[in-house]
Amino acid sequence: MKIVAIDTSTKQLSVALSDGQQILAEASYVTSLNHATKLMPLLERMMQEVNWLPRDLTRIVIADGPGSYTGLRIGATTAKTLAYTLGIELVPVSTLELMAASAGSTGRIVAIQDARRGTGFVGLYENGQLVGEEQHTLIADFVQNLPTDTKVTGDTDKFVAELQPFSIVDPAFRAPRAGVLAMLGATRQPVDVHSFEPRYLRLAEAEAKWIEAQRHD
Amino acid sequence: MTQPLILAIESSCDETAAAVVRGGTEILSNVVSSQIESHKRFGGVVPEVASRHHVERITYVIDDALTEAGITIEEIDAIAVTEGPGLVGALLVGVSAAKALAFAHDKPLLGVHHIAGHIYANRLEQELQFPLVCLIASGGHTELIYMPEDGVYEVIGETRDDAAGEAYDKVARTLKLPYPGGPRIDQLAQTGHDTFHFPRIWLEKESYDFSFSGLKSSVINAVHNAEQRGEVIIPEDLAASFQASVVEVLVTKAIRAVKEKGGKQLLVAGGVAANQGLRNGLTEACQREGIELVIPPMHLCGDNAAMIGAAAIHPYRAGRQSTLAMNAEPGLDLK
Ligand SMILES: [Zn+2]
Repeated sequence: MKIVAIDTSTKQLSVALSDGQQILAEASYVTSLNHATKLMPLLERMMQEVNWLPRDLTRIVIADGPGSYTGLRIGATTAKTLAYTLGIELVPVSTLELMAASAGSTGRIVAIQDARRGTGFVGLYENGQLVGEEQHTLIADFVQNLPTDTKVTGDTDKFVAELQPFSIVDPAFRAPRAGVLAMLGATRQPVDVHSFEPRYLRLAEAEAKWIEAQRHD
Repeated sequence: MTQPLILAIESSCDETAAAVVRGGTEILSNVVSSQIESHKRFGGVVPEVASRHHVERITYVIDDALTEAGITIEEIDAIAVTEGPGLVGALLVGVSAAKALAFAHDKPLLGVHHIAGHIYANRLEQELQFPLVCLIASGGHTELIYMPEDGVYEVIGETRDDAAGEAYDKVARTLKLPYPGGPRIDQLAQTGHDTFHFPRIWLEKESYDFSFSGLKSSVINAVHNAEQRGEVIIPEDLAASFQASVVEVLVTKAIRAVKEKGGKQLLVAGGVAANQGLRNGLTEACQREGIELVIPPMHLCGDNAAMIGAAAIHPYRAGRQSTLAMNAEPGLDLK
């Protein structure tokens, strides 16, 4: 197997190559530079370094959200176009699951992405399994019924008061890693490439307003 | 020289498009997936919604373009894509897809200016003769461009406020016409008369620039005044009066530019080139002045990828390749 894993869903860009057994190469950047300009040159360089050609690839694993809308689209479009044109498998993995897994902990862990105005995208994972649903919600509400032995990772700095009762994952393990993504996606079922879309977990604002307006009519 | 096969992608606004063009002149396929039905409910293009639709459709249109052309990706000589201007989130989908294709098959990547695409849509129908003047009129652009030779652009006039197409959409909204309003105004105008005598905005005597916001305000005021007085506006006449002002200014400035610059042809490009009032006005004026008029057929007026494939022949022949670091350039200048 020759797997490329890509995560552009947060402010960090992460790319990894794996043979399905181990991570062969992994690079992450948090820069002010746009993922659009960095992703492909990085992937190209990494492929050259491990001596892979694009036509050798067998699978693309992509973190499919939630996350920054633009970032998600860059990753999703790149991943699905590569998978389509090379005729290979496409496997999406939740960004929140990736964040939880990158923290390396067993037990109960919540991954949070800040979505402003006290809200966030959240997912609760227990020993790698999703509990309930990933959602966009008020963090203060979400944490209310959470046992205090739950760990929390992600944009924890944005919710200091709400997360006060919980143990916060060390910053060194808070970033989602494409190497972990490659391993998570190594054995999962691929999806239909053409119809693949990122999981935004939130409607476009105009669409939400439009649906609201329809309801009132 | 063998004619290169270019796979082109366009996603700058609300059409997801891919095409295969041979030698910059021959369309082998031209697939356009329009989002217009989705944006109708909002009364205009919503960038976030447009970007999401592009991701949904991008690989379908690429696959359809190759299938219809009967060409495999291996046979393609270069991948071209609209680099800008346009909606950044929308552009990024096409740019990301083009880079993935170029990387996967080790093909040259060519960034194309959207307006250059509109101009070269004309070459898919007819040989161009330089020097020439091109009038661009669309929802986002109103420009006069002088081209002394192939691939060289000099913007000699542009709008200082609204694009012509924008003004059409706003007037259509005032008349409560459904989106997209431009074609409806054109339709109504066919049976109306210029009874309102709206101002013609010429700006400075020498200027090739345009301004449509004053005209737009005059139209809106006319409607409001009539409402206040309880008078009924005849939409056909209002549309005809508005269109008469737009067309007279566009045509007059375009003709003056051709004469002063010694242009051999007047090209028209962009979505508003589909406007019947403008086509008639230009046809008449060019006949009178003995100027050769080149207007793309209706199906090449709107955004499409064949025009990007046509314009891409310049960077291709000049060896002006883009790198995999290419970005979407929402405010890209035409150079
Ligand atoms: Zn256009």
